[in-house]
Amino acid sequence: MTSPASSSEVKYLIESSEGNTFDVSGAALRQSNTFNAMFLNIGADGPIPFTDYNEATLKKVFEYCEHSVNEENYSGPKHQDDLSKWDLNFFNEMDQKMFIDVINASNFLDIERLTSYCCERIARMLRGKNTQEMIKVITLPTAEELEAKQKVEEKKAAAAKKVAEKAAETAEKTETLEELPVQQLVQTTRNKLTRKYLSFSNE
Amino acid sequence: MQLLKFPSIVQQKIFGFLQFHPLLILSFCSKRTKNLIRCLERYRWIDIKYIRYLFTNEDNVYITVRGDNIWWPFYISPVTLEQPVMIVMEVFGMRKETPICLHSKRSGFSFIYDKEQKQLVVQGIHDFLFEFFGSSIDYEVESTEHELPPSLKNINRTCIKVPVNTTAEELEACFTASPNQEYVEIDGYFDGNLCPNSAILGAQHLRVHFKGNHGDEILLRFRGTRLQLHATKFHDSTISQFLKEWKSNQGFQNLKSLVINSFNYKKYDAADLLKDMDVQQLDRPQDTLHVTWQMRVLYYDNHLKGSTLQKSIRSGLTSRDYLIRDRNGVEASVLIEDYDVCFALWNENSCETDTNSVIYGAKHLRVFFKGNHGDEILLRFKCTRLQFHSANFHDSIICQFLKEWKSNRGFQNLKSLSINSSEWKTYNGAELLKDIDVRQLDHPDYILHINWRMSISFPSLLMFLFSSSNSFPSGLMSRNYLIRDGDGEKASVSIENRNVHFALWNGNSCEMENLNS
Repeated sequence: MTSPASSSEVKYLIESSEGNTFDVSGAALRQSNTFNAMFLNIGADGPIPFTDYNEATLKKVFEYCEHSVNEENYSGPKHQDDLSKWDLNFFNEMDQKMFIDVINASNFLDIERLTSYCCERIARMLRGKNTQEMIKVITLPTAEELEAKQKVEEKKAAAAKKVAEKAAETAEKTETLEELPVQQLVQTTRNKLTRKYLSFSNE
Repeated sequence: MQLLKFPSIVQQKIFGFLQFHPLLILSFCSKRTKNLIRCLERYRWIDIKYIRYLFTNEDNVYITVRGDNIWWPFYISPVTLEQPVMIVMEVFGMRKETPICLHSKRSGFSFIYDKEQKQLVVQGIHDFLFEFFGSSIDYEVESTEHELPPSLKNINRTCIKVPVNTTAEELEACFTASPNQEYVEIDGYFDGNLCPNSAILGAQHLRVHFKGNHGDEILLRFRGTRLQLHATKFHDSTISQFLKEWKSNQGFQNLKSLVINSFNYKKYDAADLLKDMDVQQLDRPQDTLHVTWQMRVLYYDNHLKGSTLQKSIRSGLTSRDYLIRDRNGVEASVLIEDYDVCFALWNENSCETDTNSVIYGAKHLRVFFKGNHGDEILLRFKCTRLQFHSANFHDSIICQFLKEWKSNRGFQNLKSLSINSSEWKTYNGAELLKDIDVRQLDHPDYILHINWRMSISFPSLLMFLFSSSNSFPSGLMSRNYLIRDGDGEKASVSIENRNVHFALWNGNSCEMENLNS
């Protein structure tokens, strides 16, 4: 059911990446500035497609919106210590993957309150940490990992070079047998090699 | 959680919840986090004015990032046997092999380092911060008399307290990496000998504290624009040489101002020093010229201006004497008085002529104005008794007068003031006195009469009335009085209709009247 929302009773259908649809109240949806900008005044024919996000994530996001419908106007994030028990449970029961998906969906839907709480939560994970601890939190590769990665890449590049050289030799022989004019032969071989080498490197 | 994969709006929000110290540590994590923070948080750095490296005793270095509302300090201290607690990690973009680590147990934000590698470590920190915050802010070096600071690149201002037994070469070495500085201040145990082409003498603004040593060489070889020397002695011949070289266009082409204060070490004879200098004087004897300019300093909190950070202070001189430079006709005021020698160009500084009218110095002054404004006369009057007839005053001027007297900032000689604005103006006493701490006599039935005599020096009707005297009586009566800050001097004040009266209790005749008797 879709219609221009003027009352909190109005329900909207939301479509997830799986193609599933589910209901969300107008009041909850209006916390999304993206929704307000796109659909509030013009309405929507059929389900609203938020198909970059899966059903579980969207349901989690709108669960938060439904819960905070009656909360006072948002005026900046609360300190984590001031969060209600419900808020804390809401965050604590998410695993890291879901938490990240919720941040991304909340950011896309531009739900200021939820995005801010999530960001404050991440900032809290970083405070008081040293570099190594921070690297773990934000999942950066360590210097050793970077070094190892670089070595692997160097090996790959060297192997690619070898393969390209071999291929060039083979191509040269093949083209010569077909008695192509020399200039054309060289150009064809070069083009083939470049394509091969590039596709290899991209892998 | 892959921070770098979040949209930049989310990253910015996360950084927005972090203070400087965690952000700095986060920037140590990788080049990408550093660049990300630098780009996204640039708007937060916009209020930063300066970063200062303060080198103190025992190789401690205090580093402060400051703006009007920003104070992010941290410090580094050398590793000792008592402080073995270290977290080995890359900090300030320096490799792990560099001997500096975050101190894990000390309160505050601090690092420990190997003092044998001080130059390397401090330069590494400075390079990191310079890249992080950019060149739009000022970078300052300050040192106490315990040790000389290392030479760092991209430094704008330096203040060094020279330790005992420092050689000129050692002092000079502090400026090798940043030879062209905006401001240099030299204090401490400094005997005045500098290297021949010293970078110190090329600083745009140079302040030197000499403690009785001779500053002749510094003055004669200074290449910058503003020079101040405190507690410094000069040979008369040096002052003369300076003035002659400037006048004859042979030197000091960059110099805009010079202030020498020789404290108790040397007195100068102006007549003698200026006798062959073709000194000019302003046309009218009552005129003087105020020449003022801004002299650089290390940043300081100016509490008078709402604790805003200031990087210069006002300096100036007042004089009637000036020199004209040969060939290009540039003028410069010169003042030689007791222990001071001051010199300042007119066209590179702010100049204001002060007409010290002799009228303002009259002991008793009476002015008949017929409706004209007397504001300026009131504010500039310097002596004891002032009377206005038919003069018009802005309310703000009356308030200013009362406030300046009360706060002891002016009118120290004034014993009485009478204003009668006739039909030209009426005054609202309650309004004018509302912001001033006016007292009232304790007993409501009493009123104070204050009387004085105002001189008359010319024949007038009044002379006929009071022919036996060269003065006539004046007075006021009021229950209101003010107490001057600082010395507790009391003065009665009466503001009613067209009249404003003010008189000190001291220096006038006072008489209490009981209104019921």
